[in-house]
Amino acid sequence: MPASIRLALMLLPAVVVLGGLFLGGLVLAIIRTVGIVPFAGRFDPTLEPWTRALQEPDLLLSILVTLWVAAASTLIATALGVGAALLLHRAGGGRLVTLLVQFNLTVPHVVTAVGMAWLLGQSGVLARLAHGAGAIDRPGDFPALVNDPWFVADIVAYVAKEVPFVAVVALAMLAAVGSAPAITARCLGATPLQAFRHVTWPLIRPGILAAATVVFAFVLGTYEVPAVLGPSHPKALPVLAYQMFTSNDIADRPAAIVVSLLMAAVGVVCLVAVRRLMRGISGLEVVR
Amino acid sequence: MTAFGAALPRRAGALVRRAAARPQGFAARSALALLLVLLVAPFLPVVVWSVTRAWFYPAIVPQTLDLSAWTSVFSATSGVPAALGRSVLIALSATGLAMLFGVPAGRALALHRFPGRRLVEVLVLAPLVVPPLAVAMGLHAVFLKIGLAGTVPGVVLAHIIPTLPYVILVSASVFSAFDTGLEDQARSLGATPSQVLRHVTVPLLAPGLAVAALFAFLVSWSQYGLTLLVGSGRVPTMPLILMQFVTAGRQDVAGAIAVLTVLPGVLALVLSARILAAAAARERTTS
Amino acid sequence: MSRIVLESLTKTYPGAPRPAVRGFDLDLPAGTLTTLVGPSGCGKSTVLRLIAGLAEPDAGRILIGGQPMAGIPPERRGAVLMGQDHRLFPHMSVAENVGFGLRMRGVDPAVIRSKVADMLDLVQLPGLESRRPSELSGGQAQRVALARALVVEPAVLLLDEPLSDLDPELRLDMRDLIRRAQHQTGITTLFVTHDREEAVAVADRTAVMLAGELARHGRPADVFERPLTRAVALFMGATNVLDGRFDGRSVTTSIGTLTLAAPPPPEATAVVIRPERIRLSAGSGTSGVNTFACSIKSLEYRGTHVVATVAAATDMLVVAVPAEAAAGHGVGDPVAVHLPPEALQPVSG
Repeated sequence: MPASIRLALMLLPAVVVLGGLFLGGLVLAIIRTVGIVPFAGRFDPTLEPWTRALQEPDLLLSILVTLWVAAASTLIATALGVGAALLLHRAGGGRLVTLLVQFNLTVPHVVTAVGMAWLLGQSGVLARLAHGAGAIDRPGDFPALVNDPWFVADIVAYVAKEVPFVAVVALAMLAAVGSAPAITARCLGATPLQAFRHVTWPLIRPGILAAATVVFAFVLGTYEVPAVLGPSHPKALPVLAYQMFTSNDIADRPAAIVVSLLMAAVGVVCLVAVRRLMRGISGLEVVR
Repeated sequence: MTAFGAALPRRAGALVRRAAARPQGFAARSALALLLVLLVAPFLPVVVWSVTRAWFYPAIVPQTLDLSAWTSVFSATSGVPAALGRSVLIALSATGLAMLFGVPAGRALALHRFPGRRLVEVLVLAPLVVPPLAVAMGLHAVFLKIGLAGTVPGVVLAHIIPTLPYVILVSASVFSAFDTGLEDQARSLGATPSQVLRHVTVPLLAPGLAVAALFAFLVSWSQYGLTLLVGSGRVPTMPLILMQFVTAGRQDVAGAIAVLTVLPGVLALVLSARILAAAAARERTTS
Repeated sequence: MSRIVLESLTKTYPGAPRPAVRGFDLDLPAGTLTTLVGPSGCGKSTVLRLIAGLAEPDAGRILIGGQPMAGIPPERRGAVLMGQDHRLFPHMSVAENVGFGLRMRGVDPAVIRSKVADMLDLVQLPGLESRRPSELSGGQAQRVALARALVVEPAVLLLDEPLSDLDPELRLDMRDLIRRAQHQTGITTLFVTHDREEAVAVADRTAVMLAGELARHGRPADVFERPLTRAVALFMGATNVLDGRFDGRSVTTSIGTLTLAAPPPPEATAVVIRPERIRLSAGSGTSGVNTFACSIKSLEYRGTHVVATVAAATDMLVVAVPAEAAAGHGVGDPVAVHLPPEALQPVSG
């Protein structure tokens, strides 16, 4: 049937490329952690990389701080993003805010990270302002926000980057839902707050949660932000994985993959969650 | 990273703008002002550093202005012009390939039901949610073997992983807003399939697809971890070279590079706003 | 001017439980306007898509001007489709839209310009060449779409509910315009609609399509007055169906024995009568043929007329009475109904 052949031809390139590069890379990564490297002709099944990775002294701590950063960034960015969207939707803030929100979306994370280091560092802009205001004397008096064990600047950088993202998604959801359901609720006697809580919020929630999940998974796997703003101990997982991968001991490579697979596993769980949440949201479900 | 947002209505920009035009209360205004500060603050030191070398603690404004960062950024020895060219080349190539593979798939997802559709959807969403490090590490051995590791083509291939899903999602939303009845109408009026493509489909979809391409460009442009791993550190793009200068303690040059790194985004915003505004003006339908 | 012949067309969409079109035959004499009427989902739009070449039949033949159309792509059939949605190309001006088909055929631009102007005159929109589709009203857009279809002088014009999206007054104007343009150009036209009044008003011939099959085809008045089958009768609004035993020219039904104007065909199983053909009179006098005593169960005011439901023997009849004639009647009143023999149509099925 020519129609089905045409359809297959439309899908095939993308499926082959994504399957080959993404799935292929993932599968190669997995089998390499058990001693199989097909393209180098190596086949000596072993679990050594797994024991090596799991014996990495900082691993547990790295997992914990990475989850902390991802959870904190996601929570704060989602709350602020939804709040900003509601304000923009109802109150408005002029062209400038609009432009900044959109502009911020296009900025590479590494630039935000570097800017944040120069803003929040102990001799950064904030510290200088604090000095100017007479609050501190020497740079060391300023609280350590950059490369600190709590990843404060790291989290702030993610929040600055992801608030616009959540806000844009939330605005799109608010526009899609429209004001009719809320107005109907008001006519039936709901206060504005009740109308939001019982009508508007349940309608936009799936999109917001999907966006939050994407943020969470993204923060989990991003290298450059904790590389600039995180402490050297404990390291965020992507930093730990990268440093193990590029260490002088070549035997660390498969173990590094094990570490990155741990992140990928969390990512897969997030993927399932996003799929669930996006069901019924226009975007992918666009078949007529 | 912005892919998911773009899968939702492309008019988000217009929505933000329309919403922003309404009157406001004092509390709302203050909250938005705070948001604005958060959004702008990181760029202040970046811009300031790009025009000074002498900005020592506790000076709030730099002691002297100095544009030498910009001269060194534009001198061949700094490696920045080469990195700029490399970044543009990589992002253009990755975007081109992603469009080539992604637009037809977007159309298929938008307009057809087929068996295995859910699997394709999962495959498309996966690279957006599953961290790329493991994938890049898995590809690394193969790329080493076939001589792609540490090369521009290797990095381009790797960049297809985050850009392709993006192009597929955006073009799916473009196609789902496209009335294929117009193509039937054109055929019925006597246009051959290639005439339909040239006179109807392409002109109507061009604005949306152009915006998809612009933002795919930005996705590639912003990549860091993938470039670092697959490029084995030997393919310094703008984000990578920015880090090199930060690590080397040259805040002034790093500031200038950061400004340059942000520019394509600004350009893309202006361009996409123009493209969409022109398309909207052309197609605005009376209701 | 081409004759269009459809022979046993059958089309089943992938995944659909039943064929959309089944064994469909239809003959459109050259230069005529035929309406194809049926409820939504009966397959009429599919027939148009098959003729236009936008879908291929599973079985059967399509002949346009004697040429079989199997394997001929849409652009070489000379069958132009115009739908309910005007489908003007939003990125082209009115002139570019109307001239589109000619441009695709490589016609000289000067010729295109003059033909476009002529066509815009024909649809009464002269001078609108440079407008954008977004600047047109719904009625104007639909007329531009008609001009765009007519300008290529198609062998057959396929109209798919072209009036459904228009306001009532515009609908009448557009209907007249289509009728006039068809007369002037002589293009064989198939006009699909779900509106039975529209179907009989503009047509040379009317075809009724039910559940994928051709149910009746003939002159509009014939189709309207003599439905022949129960299904067509119900679709065309002959609400009163009385099953009966036929015996010569009389038929015994639930309301009594009725006399027919002519002997029924042997396959007849019921008689039908349209609500507006039943006469209602006050009192309970039942003298005369086909006249029965009954009582009014409900009255429903419809503006120009009143719809009365009356109980006659063990059955109900729906009667449409001019508003002024109904003025004296109330629910529960005893009345007499008269079913004129010439208004009783035997049907089969």
